[in-house]
Amino acid sequence: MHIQIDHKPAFALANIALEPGEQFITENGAMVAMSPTLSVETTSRATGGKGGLLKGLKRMISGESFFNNVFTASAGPGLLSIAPSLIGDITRHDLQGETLIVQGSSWLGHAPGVELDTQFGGLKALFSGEGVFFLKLSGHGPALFNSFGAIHQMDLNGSFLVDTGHVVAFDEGIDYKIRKVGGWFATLFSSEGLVMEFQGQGRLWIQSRNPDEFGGLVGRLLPPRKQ
Amino acid sequence: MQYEIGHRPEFSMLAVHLNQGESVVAESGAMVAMTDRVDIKTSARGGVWKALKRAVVGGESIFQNTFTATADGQHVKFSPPTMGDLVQYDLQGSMLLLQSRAYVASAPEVTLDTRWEGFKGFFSGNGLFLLKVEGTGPVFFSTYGAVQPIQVDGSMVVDTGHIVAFEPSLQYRVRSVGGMKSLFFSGEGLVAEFSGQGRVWMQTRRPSRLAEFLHPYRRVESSSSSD
Repeated sequence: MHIQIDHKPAFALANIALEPGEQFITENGAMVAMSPTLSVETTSRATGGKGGLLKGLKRMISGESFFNNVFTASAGPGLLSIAPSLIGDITRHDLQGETLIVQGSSWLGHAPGVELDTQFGGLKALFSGEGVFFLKLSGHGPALFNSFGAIHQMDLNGSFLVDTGHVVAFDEGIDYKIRKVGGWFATLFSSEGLVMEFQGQGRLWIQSRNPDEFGGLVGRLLPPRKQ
Repeated sequence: MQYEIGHRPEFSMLAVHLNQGESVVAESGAMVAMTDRVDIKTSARGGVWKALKRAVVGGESIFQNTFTATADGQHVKFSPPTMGDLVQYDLQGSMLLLQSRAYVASAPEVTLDTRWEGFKGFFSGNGLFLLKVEGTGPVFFSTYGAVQPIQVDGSMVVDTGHIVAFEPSLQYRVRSVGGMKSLFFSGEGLVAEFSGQGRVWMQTRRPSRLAEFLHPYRRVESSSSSD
């Protein structure tokens, strides 16, 4: 397969050219366009194999629906174009046996050599009450992340505090704690002082905008909803 | 009439330069700024029936504004409601099919008409419909996100929320992706399968996904009324 990311950095679109038989797994609703030679299957992915539907439902109840779309170039080579829901960038990361911990809303898609595992390091987002959760990506092959705003890669060496809503992904070897800071210190952060405290060495990706903050700002200006 | 599109591709704005007697037609609400020797005439363009058709079919504004310079050296600036790009398409006695909300402005010799889709309903509600744009001169339309034009030669499947415009030489068929289960779980709505030869202009972001993202952030209506 060949992956090309166009229209960076604000309205990025990933164009994936698949050889016959190749597959690509994406989050729901990501498809913009595809060749008719591609077929689509909706599946729930649990531990990298085929998750049972019950597991998918369980995740729904805990605040997150986890159905993925699997695109297969079943009738010949084809093109798949995907995009995230918010404005911002798409970044490709090629996994080479390492494990990354990725924020759920930052995962866009990956090739089948990459395994996806849900990890319930979850916490309620401040404004929406929806779950903020993390995924584990491991194995070999390309993975695509999206960022709300710009994406910024850092090499961590020591200790670092990041507002939770700005975390895109990080190397598994980095120690992390999600904690609530209080008092005046909390006013430095959005997300009600919910921060991730990282410790160690490795790569860390952050995004320049916080979806939860944006949602909270605009959402409260919209008319109320039922339920 | 002379024009240029500035601030591409994220925050595109159209500047039209008019000499005495020259006019430009625009969607109501598109004007950003103008010099002071410009007359504005608001009309139900194309006759009352055509305008009513536009309003009834989609909640699209019934009125358009015609800006006419009463002296030389005038200019008017226009912008669309969304962040993204502006495309100029020059009609030469030809026709273009345009998503209703994407229309920004056009030369006075260009006519706009609602093309009644009937059961072929291109968009799944939300008051969107197709405008038939024809005549001679430029038409300017906007995209939410970046514009990705595709030259279809054969066939291509595109999510209808990402379709902004296409040439009438193309045939199309609207369907849901992969059947009912997919429609419910996959997050994809309707797709259009284009065949033949012609251009399709896609936008890399879809307003409905922004709306879906914001929905959980709306305050929940309380069951007891409070004043």
